[in-house]
Amino acid sequence: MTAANGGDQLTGDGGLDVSIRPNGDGVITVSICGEIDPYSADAFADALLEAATSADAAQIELDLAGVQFMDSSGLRALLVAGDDLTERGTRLSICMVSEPVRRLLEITDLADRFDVPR
Amino acid sequence: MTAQGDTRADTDCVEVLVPADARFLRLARIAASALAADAGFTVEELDDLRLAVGEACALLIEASPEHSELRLTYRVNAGRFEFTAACPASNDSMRGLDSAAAAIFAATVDDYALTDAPESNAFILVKQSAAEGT
Repeated sequence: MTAANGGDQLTGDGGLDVSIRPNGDGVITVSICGEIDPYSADAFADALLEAATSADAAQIELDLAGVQFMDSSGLRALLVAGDDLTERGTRLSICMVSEPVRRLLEITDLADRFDVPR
Repeated sequence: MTAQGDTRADTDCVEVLVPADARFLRLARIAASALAADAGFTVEELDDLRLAVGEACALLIEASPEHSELRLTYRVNAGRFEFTAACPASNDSMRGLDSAAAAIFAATVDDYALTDAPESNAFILVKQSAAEGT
């Protein structure tokens, strides 16, 4: 994963674009653009953990509006990262989703777990 | 990667052979989406097909030996989309469908079947366009 654009914009392995933006009060917004599948799921999980460790984050808000595709590998990465972050005392929530991601979270009954906006 | 196409009796059939590698999952999804879009599937149905096709291919790739190939066959006829993916199997037994994968297939396609044989695995998905059915 390489940093660009003032260290804020990251391009991850697997073709994901990742942006990490502090919003104050320990809240960090992580925005992901691209497709999350087994080829990019590790980069997705790494981005979440990097956000948690790069700043003293109490909460990570995940913006998935730019994710055009996500499958069960992305869900697994989300769940594992969520558990890891919880152990570090960081709360993970989803602030925005694309329609394909919303559909996936609803199919798998995980929308409520991440407070997905309706 | 190789591809073949055939159009007979109103059936479009396209075969694609790709390395069994996660890098090619996107290509499998794009082909499904393009063929189904051409057949009049709605945007929501295309999203469902992409999800199911990607999930099926990922399962097969995970259970395949290194340097093997994944054969993808797409058939579209009168709003009926049939997808078959076949791949050599490694010695390890194939991981069964976890609850998320099972929920995805149940919600996105009309029928699905996984054939788990000693030397090869195959996945078949069928989806009928709602627009064609009305």
